[in-house]
Amino acid sequence: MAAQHTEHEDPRLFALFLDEARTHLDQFAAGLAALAHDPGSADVVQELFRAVHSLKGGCAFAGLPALTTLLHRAEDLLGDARDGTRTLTPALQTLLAHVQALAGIQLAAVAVDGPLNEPALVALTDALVTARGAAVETAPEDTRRRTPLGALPEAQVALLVNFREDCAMPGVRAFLVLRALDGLGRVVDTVPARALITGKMLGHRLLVVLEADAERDLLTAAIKGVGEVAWVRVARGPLAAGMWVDMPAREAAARAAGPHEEHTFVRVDTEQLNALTALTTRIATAVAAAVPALVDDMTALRTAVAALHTVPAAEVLGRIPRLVQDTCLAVHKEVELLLEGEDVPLHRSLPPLLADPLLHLVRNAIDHGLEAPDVRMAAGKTACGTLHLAIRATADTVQVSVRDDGAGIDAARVLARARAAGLVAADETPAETALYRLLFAPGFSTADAVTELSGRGVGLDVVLRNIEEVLGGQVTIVTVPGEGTTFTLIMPRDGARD
Amino acid sequence: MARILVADDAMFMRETIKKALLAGKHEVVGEADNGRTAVQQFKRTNPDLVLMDITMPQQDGLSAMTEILQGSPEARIVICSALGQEEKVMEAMAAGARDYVTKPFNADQLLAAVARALE
Repeated sequence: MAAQHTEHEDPRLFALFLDEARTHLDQFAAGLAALAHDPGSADVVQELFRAVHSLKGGCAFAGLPALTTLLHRAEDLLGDARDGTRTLTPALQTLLAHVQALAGIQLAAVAVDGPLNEPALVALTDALVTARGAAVETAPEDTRRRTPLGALPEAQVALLVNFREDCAMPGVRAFLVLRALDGLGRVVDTVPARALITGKMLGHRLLVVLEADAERDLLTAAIKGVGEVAWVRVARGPLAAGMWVDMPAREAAARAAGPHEEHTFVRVDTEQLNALTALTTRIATAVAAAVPALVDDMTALRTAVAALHTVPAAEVLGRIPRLVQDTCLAVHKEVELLLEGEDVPLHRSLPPLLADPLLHLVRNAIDHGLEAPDVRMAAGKTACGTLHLAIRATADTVQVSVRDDGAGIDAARVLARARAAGLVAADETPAETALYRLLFAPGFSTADAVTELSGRGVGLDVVLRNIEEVLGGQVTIVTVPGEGTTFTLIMPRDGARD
Repeated sequence: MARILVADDAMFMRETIKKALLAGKHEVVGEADNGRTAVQQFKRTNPDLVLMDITMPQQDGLSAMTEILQGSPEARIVICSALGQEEKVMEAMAAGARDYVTKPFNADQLLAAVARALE
């Protein structure tokens, strides 16, 4: 992932940051000195809190995450003291003095372009967490259950809102969505429930059932106007039956066990849905022959029923940024990620089948496709590689491509490895396409050093099997030495064969 | 382009914000390093929009915002928050703030929030 936003590129701003950081460090030190004389002073604690808070904010902007975390934990401790839930004992004051001293040393190092002492920062952060008497706040339970939304009355419309992955406070955005919808109708229900839409809400998805006769475009525009919205799905009345909702497990259980309120959620059996689809097709065919005037209506009905089987491609693409970020951290590479086609409707059988192949292709592209930053720079490229994931649909197929701007596949090296592994006879030279296919062979890898992530060719084998055998699709590889590689998965648009 | 008042106790942060606003063709009509000055500056400059930090000396951002909205209910205020201040941001939204950004933000995120608040 591209480096966090940093002001290093602007020397004037960075100098200003250092200057103010020194002032805050001095206030930090002065506060600790005052505290030693007057441990109970609320004013002193408040000043200390503000100094550490400002210092933390500056460090976050300056791209110093380990130092930011340390200061954040110190701020937690001071926050407890300010709120009266903790006394700053001499032991805690000593610990805070260590924080002040270490922060000073680290900022001095950064000022001369030196590196942060991560082990020291992490050790002191751990000491603060331990002293605070609790493990780092564990995130509330966030297991989710996929629950089908049932048909709604015609007067009601279901709005499924997905916030962007980088949206830092989805709960606040959810609140703003509800505020934006207030003037357009009456909110009948939400998932998560309204009481759970707080600042601490973690999920990036909100479902609103709204009683309103407003047009779809108006509702969508109102929601998108809130900002940080990746996509919105709208379904009115019976058509809402095709929507799936990610519901926190606890809430799903509470709703299932709770008193039977007048309810908006009805389970849809997949077999019944399939039977309905088949029946609709038969009726459409029979009626079309007998009563041509009804053809248009029937076609519309078929389209609507078919839409029940689709989910937006964002279901698949939404997980990619986190995956890319984690992979980049693991292999020390920088990647700029481009996503395309989040609105493309996919047959609902596709996302689960695509998850593994994409996981492997993305990891493979970052781990093996893209070069290390120094290698890229030496080749005259930007240090940060580009990964482009696109989902496109034609009338009959869905095409998913993963393109990197890395070094490309080294055909000679693949051939040498294939011969060494006994996959190709010494006197045989396969055509390039056939050669690249060998990348999918179990146990095949051209990686000289087997990395933690994608060594041994395990992943690509899974890709092949899922796409070709389960989906009846095909996989193509195009590679240009020095310019990169594109893997394309082509699948039938209506998903897995029965 | 809009006339904007920037309230944040860190000069580094105000400069970062100003740089982004100027790049977005906005005009910075005033600056404040605490909540009390922000309220005074608001009355003096009558800006189109206020970018308001939460944690500031003398008077915090939420209190300053409330005071501004009492005198000018139509004032457009965008909260600049830090991670961990989710509940305070929620409180600010409920009290009438138009939007918020979370530090560290980049120029695009800031300008997008400003544009939404100006709509």
